[in-house]
Amino acid sequence: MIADVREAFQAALSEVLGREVEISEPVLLAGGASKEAWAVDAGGERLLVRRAAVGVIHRHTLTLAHEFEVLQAAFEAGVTVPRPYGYVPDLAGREAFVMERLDGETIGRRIVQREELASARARLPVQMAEELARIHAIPAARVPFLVEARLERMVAELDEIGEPHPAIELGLWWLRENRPAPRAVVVAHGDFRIGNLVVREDAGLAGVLDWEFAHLDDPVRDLAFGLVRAWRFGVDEKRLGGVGEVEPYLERYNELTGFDVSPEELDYWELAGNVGWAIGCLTQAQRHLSGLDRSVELAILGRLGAEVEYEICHLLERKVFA
Amino acid sequence: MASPRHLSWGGGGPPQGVATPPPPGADGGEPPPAPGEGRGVHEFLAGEILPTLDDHRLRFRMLVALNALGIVYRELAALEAEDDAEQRELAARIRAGDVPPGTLARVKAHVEARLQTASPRYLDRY
Repeated sequence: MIADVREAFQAALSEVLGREVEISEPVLLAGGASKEAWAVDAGGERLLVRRAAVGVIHRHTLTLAHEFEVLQAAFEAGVTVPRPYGYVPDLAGREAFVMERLDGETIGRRIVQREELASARARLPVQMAEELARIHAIPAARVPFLVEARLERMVAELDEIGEPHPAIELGLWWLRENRPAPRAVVVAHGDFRIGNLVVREDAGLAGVLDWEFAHLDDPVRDLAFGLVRAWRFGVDEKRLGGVGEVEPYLERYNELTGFDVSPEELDYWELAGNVGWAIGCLTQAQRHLSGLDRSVELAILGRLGAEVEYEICHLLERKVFA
Repeated sequence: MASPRHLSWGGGGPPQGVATPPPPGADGGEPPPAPGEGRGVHEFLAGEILPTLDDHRLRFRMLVALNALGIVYRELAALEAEDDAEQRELAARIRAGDVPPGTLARVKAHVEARLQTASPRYLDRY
């Protein structure tokens, strides 16, 4: 690491922790196109520094300052999250925030498939429901900068891509025609799925990560997002993120919130989650094609979007036209 | 299209006396014209992987592979672009709420055809 960047880390972490600290060599962790994640120890604390990446601007995601505020609000509300330490407006030229570095598995495919995590997986449906109930109870006034997301935004995003995708159109059409009675909006995580959890053998769910898509929304949309087949990592028969069944998840969520969400409502928002992710794949690919963010991973997502479109057809066939 | 045997010597390097020019884009030049994903693959291999290869044999084989990709890209570029007018019309009709019986089957068949290219094994999961 360049010496002056290391110095910047040392100064920032001393400021955040409120005392002069010696730091370990910061290690840039793999993954994360829009944000960097640095593992570093300072003054006996195990920290993770989430820092903006160069030249990457995503629409509809929070700034790091706002993401940090949401993390703080979640922490205060008792959601299982890494302890937030502080926001850093300028860490070697880019904004960042500092939080606790949790032990555990964060790679979705491993969470779903590793033998040693079998008992943790068994606990996840109920634990996930409990976390979502806590998230949805965060007072919206605590995070007044969050905006409401509407289904109509997906239509605008699809139009911006400029390609014909009849499967997505069909999904959007059905969602328009069959919308359930609207619920009062709540603070939503916005990306609540297995790949954004920390899972440990002894604890099951040990942390909820990645709050950059937080917004205000129908709670059932958040509840159903983890059902999207793409997040089952090959264990398709387990509808809840490849780890478990929906029934205990829904039952526990209803028990804690009193929202009385029906399976049919969950089906509706599962389809909406797939439509949103299909558009997301195309949008990500456009970032590569336009030269905004060149990446082979983003490039291939555009083609893999066909998998999500197939799932949209499958859901429509099973649940709608059956 | 050139057969694979024309693109590789099958051993650890070129025959004696055969020189292979570096692929376009590998050492600072422009990459070959390529569809979006192809350009991403070329940039990844030439820009991120090639510079890390210290083994001369592997480096040479990567240059050959990049040349092969360049050939494929140029052949693809020469193909006639797919006419998506029918898909555009279908998408517009669905947007307008015109969804007669048979629409889902038609849409699904088209997605399935795309998957046969993009991710054929995915279809086995249903």
